[in-house]
Amino acid sequence: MADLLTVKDLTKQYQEFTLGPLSFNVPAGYILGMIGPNGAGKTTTLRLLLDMAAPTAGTVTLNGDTTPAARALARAEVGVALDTTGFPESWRVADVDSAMALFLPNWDAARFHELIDLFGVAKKTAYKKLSRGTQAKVNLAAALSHDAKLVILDEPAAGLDPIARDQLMTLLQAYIEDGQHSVILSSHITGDLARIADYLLYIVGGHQLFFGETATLLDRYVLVKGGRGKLTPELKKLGLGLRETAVGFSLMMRAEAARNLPAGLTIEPVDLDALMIYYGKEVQADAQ
Amino acid sequence: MRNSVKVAQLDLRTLQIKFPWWALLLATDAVILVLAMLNFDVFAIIVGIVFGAGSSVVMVPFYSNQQRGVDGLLAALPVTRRQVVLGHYLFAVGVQCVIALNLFVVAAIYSFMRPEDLPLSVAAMVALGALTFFLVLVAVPFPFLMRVGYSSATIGIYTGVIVLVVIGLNFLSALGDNFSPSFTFGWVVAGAVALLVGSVPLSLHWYSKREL
Amino acid sequence: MQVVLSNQAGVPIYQQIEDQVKTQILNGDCPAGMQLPSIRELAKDLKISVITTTRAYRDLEAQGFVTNMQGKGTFVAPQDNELIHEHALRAIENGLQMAIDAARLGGVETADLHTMLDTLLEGENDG
Repeated sequence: MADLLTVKDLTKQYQEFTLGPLSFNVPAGYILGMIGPNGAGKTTTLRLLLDMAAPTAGTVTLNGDTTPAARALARAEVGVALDTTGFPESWRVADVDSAMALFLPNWDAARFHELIDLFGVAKKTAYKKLSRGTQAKVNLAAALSHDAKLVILDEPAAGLDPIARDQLMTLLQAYIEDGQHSVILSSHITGDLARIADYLLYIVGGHQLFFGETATLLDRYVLVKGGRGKLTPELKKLGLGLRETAVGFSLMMRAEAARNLPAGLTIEPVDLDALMIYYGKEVQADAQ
Repeated sequence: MRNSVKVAQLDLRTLQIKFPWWALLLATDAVILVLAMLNFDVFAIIVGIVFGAGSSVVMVPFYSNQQRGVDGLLAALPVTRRQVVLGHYLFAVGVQCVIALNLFVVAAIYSFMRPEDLPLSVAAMVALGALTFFLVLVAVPFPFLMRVGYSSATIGIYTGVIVLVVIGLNFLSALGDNFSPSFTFGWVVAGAVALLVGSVPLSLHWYSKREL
Repeated sequence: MQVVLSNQAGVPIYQQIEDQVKTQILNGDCPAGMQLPSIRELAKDLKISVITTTRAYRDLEAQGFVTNMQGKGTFVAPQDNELIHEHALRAIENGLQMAIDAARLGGVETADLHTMLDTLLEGENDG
């Protein structure tokens, strides 16, 4: 199956911040999770994919289209829910429905209302009167209701309670089930992503730290823990991001480096949260 | 360009408050005409309302989403930047033509009812004058709206234009003693149209460079 | 086919799937020719990524437990006894190696280890 999205050396230069070069791709039928601290450039990346900003260098191929003009018209095949793609304040669900139907040839009103009902959105309430979480649900429902080949979501789970989040994850998995549709979502809810994201794009400070299968990233590192006394300088050198307390230490390091460690240490696989936290400590330490 | 028409339609839909805009318009017309029938001299008020409405209505799409306007929404839809700009112009000029036309119809009826207060020729000129005012109010601020969106800068320009036009009109009516009023007026209208047409390429250019 | 995942197990998810499917195939719960849920259906039901289930099925196919027929689905392969035997041997080796490592760590003598094995086997025969 061809890739729905191919990004090569995408770069965006701002005065105080450089994003990229980023290179990644999204094959049809999979979920790509974008992770990274706030301000790392995840939203900017998504905006570049949608031609909301022009890149300084690099190429984006979306559904086979390589130019902004072609991509503009191909956006009928892209479902989007970003912070800035919200609807006018006075609109109700019916207004969203008719507006989307106007622009999107594959708009499925029945599906939209199904999702609105599933999310429990009040149909007669004006958009601005809805809570942020509910507004997000409306945006989401719209993004998922026109059979878009690629769905792009920026922190969709941010305002959602656990029940709604679960609904969302189930929806996304059902969405890609036929192998023809893909989803890109950026999220801080790393637990969800670690389970259902097939690929991960990890961005820190504008740099692409990793792109590949989720399992590859998680298998790359381990967490080494032990009592204070066991923390030798050699050990410290092998690790990335150290956490020391009165009762012990924990250190993240590459799995290969952890093969020949002395006895008495606990070695465990790292979860996505831990990985990002320890990596963050490392970056902080470097900066100091 | 069908997509530009769709953008204009979208802009129109941002005007929905509690009642559709056309219903409000007809209701206001009815009230005004009733007042006129009862011999109240309301023409000045009418003109005031129309100028106010025509000016502010055009801005609504640009602050309708927490001051962000419909830019973000349109960015996610299958329309090009060019189609967005043309759609906005279509909406603005279209709505203002409707408002000016409505003013003319109301004024004509008023004139018919009280010809001593308002000769038909004056009614026509006021309607045309309103349209001209509106066109300038689109022509000058729109490029800035396209460039930076709805911000204090664009509001500033907007207000500035209104003030300038009011001053200019006073100046012209003073001048009008020297020239035939329709001659001056003709040039003013032509100028406004030229300004509007000239603002389009600038808007297109600035919007194409804008980061949303 | 039933699969129950545990977050606490410390065993990677793809491994849990493989182990459970293998067990069911070997003890006959999943007879030869039975169709397994599709990779994507399984991913959805278990709420895990498609790549994970793909990997599990691929490993199972490589080890001869299932066959993947393009366009049709994944089916339990006829089990050849030699394969089952080999699998059992490998499992025994792993188990025994773990016991030996534990004994070393705990300072248990080899002779005691043999005794423990005999005792356990006797216990099984009685029970």
